[in-house]
Amino acid sequence: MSELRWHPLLEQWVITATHRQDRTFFPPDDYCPLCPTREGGFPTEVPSQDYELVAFENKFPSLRRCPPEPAVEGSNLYKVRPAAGVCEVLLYGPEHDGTLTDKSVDQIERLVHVWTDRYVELGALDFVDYVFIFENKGKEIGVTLNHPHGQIYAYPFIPPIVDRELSACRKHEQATGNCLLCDIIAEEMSDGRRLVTQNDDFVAFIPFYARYPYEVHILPRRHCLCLPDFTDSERRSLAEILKIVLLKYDNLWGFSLPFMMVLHQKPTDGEAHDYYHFHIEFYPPYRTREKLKFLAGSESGAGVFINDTLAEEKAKELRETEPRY
Amino acid sequence: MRVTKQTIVKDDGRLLTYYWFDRRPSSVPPGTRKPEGACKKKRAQKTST
Repeated sequence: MSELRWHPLLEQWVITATHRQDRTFFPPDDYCPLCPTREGGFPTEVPSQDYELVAFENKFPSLRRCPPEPAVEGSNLYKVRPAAGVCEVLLYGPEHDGTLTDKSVDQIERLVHVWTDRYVELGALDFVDYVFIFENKGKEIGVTLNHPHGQIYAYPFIPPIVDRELSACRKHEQATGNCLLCDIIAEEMSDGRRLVTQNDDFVAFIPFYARYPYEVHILPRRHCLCLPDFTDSERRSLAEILKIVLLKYDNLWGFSLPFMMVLHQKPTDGEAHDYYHFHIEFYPPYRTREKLKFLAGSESGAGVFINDTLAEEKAKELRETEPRY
Repeated sequence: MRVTKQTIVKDDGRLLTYYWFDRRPSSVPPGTRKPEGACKKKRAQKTST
């Protein structure tokens, strides 16, 4: 059963997808469903070994190209609609072991190209208003398969967090004539205390308003709205800065740091959204080497994040952490 | 960077897209049924991406 149910208090859609309860949960390494199918072996999700990256539709999707009609009848108050959309898994390669950090800059650059292609292809679907590319990394985040991979949700609506960002950017542009995120980059560059790393085309920092202790944001210096706006040279620069941030994360405490990595870019609803600005956000769940940050009462029930740390201090830690291999 | 991609339909109807860069695949991957038009909910207001 899968459908969208309207939350009238928060004014946002909730996806119900009860079939996902049965999804694969930490299979043994030699029964990984994301490894290529081997001759004489059990069939996996990927029939061929000869590929560099591969994207495929999730076996347990929250959204479907041809969704069933809702199982319940809606009302004026309780609206329901079919869960139309696409949920894809994006494998970073045939190799089972390792993480995105272990990939070379060349391989990450190829991933950026595939992100771009999936954004264009899925965004062109009539029923897709937003292409959300992300990675959940580590069991602390709820990952159930170890093979290095990310995910793509092609939603039939603009998700609420992006919608709030769009609204803020639109209001800022109307008030100042400037892009809000361009102004944030200028403020962070001018201050400097929260910078983590930078190159010719991108800047990485823990923003003044960080909600997680090690919440790094990566933004293009140029006003780009989405992945297809980048030049090949900028895609290479993005891969380079991603590699450095990932290495810093893993060298911070000497273990592979779990995180959520999310890409925010302009919706694919046919509107211009010229006031928006592409960016990547990382949310690592650790606040110290041993302690996790939980989204507890204030965060979950009131929407108010409490960050026990100062962005200026955490950025200094990451800045001073060598991005060594 | 030259990108080659190939989309196939898996046995259960799900789409899968392979990517190669600066080279061609050494063999045609199995399951190469060409995707047919997926069911779409047409919306007139979407004009571009």
